[in-house]
Amino acid sequence: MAEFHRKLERSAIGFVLAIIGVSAIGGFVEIAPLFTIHETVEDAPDMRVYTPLELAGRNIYIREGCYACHSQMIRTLRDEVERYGPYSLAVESKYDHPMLWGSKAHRAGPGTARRKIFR
Amino acid sequence: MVSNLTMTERRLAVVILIVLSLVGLTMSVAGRADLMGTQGFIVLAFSVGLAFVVMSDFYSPTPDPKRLERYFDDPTKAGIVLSMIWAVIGMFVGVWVAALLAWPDLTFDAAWASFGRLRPVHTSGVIFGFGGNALIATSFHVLQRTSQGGLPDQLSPWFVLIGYNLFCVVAASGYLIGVTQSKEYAEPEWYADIWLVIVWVVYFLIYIRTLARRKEPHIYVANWYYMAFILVVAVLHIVNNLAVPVSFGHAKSYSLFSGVQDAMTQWWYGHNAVAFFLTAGFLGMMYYYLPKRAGRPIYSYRLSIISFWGITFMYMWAGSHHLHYTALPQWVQTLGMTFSLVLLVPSWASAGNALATLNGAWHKVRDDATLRFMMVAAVFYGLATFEGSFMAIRAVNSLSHYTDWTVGHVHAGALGWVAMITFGSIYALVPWMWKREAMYSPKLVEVHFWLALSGTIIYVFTMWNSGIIQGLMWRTYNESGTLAYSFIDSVSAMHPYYIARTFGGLLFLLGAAVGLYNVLMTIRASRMELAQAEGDADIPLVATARAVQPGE
Repeated sequence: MAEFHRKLERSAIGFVLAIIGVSAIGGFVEIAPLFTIHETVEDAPDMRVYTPLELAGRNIYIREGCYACHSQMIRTLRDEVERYGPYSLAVESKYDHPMLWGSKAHRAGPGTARRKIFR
Repeated sequence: MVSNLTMTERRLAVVILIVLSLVGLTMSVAGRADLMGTQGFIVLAFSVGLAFVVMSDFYSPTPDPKRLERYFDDPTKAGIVLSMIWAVIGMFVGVWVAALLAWPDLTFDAAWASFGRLRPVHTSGVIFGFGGNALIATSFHVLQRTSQGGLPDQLSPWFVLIGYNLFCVVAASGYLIGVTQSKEYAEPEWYADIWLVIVWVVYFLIYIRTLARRKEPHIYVANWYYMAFILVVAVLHIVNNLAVPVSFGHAKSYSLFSGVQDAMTQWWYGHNAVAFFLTAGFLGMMYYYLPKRAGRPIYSYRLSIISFWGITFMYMWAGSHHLHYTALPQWVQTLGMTFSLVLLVPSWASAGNALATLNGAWHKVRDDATLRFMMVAAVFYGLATFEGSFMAIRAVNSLSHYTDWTVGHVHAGALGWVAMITFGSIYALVPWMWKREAMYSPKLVEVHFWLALSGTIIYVFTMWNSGIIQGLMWRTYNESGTLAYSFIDSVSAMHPYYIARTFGGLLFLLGAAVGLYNVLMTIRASRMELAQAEGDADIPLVATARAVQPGE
């Protein structure tokens, strides 16, 4: 292994290509199928696009950085379901460009998914 | 700055600045009814101001033709100072937003000072402003020393450093007026993102061109990490920021992906911004400055290889652990958790390699605060990566996610690892760059070390407590089977911890301010010595005492 590597690290272009190749695999395997596997997003015939007013409200939510503390994603845990309502389905954020599932950082404020804040 | 450019480079610099000011002008005019107008004005003012600097020195003597055989360190020097300035700005805003959580009235009723707008100023300020400038500055230095050759030209390093700082300024000022994509650590809007791609391509080309001219056949470990940092950050940045602007006169854009695919792309980006910006780049720093300062060779070449390729391969799978128990398909969550656990192997291989390198130099760690900064950084790197793997376990994540525990974990990495290795490297680098024996005050380095360490420990312990209490309060049930605490109960319970956290952050900020002062005074001492050497040669001594003026 070390011998092979000694050769590899003499070539800048070879090293660049190796880094790109090795790093590309994980993202490709995890992201690409999300676009092709049908079950990823449930079928919900009554899902509709946002109205202009809802979209304007959403843009204020984004502009003011509300996503830093609030989440639009209710996890499938008992206490979250009892506190905030039924857990979120992927289809509910189908028209969310971008999604507002909230920060990994923290939830200093309660979840907002069931608050209909964009209306 | 200008005197080291050749005539052709000076002309090119002026052309670039004219083009950039035209871009700024177009943005101000096209976006006059939008927030983009303000952003355009900043670009215009920045480039016109810089054009004046170039023009005023345009006809100064040009450098000699042998310049490319020498090391070119001016951009490194400027990068160090910029990095320390951004550290103080970014950490000041950090202490401010921490204080806002304890005392919400500190917004002073101003929209721009609300938590939601200030928070990205803090994160971008420290990650991109402080961390990014330190990475650019040190990478130029390490690249030249380990290649035993100078940079390929004088203009492109300046373009990268200054262009990158323009990106940071546009980003930070944008958040204050409400320009954001709402993607964490990728908040800047589409025009700033395009500009960063241009800067980044030039950065990569500098690397490849310098390596092509290297005299040393092997590429040193530090450069593997710097290259991985440059390449992978480029890929992440481009894919995650794919978006459609409302129009060319609007700052607002809508991301190309939506919902679950967007969430996965965002955390593939977000987690690997941590991996390749905040880990790979700074490991590059560690692999050069730690053995240099300790005067010991790297403990194991094989461990370096294993950890490098392990990190490069496995980190890219780990992002989905940010989305446990969400609407992301479970198979992706499981993959993310699995790779996060295995990731501990290359992470600890790096940390162990660094600490084993110090064997035989522990007496230096005791006496030298600069080396101690680097040692503590390696320890925190080991702790934070262990904690990260632990928190990626689904069951642990059900408690820790959304709580302050995550904030504590991030700061164990950001303060304990990233900032400490940077301060250590800068304290090693500054005396070399400004041709001094040591820093202006080694005592102040010691003061900075203890401020930084105590600040980090207070911060991390506080957030562990508050995060776990928060998580437990949310899931506690009383005897009748209903939730025991309302959400606001958990908010009130955090108050003492938020005060303690602010205090810890304040100590860390004070340390950074001491560091900035020490760096500036070292530069000043070096300049004064230089001026004195010149002054002794041709200027007769004059009485320094100023005559007292009437009325004084």
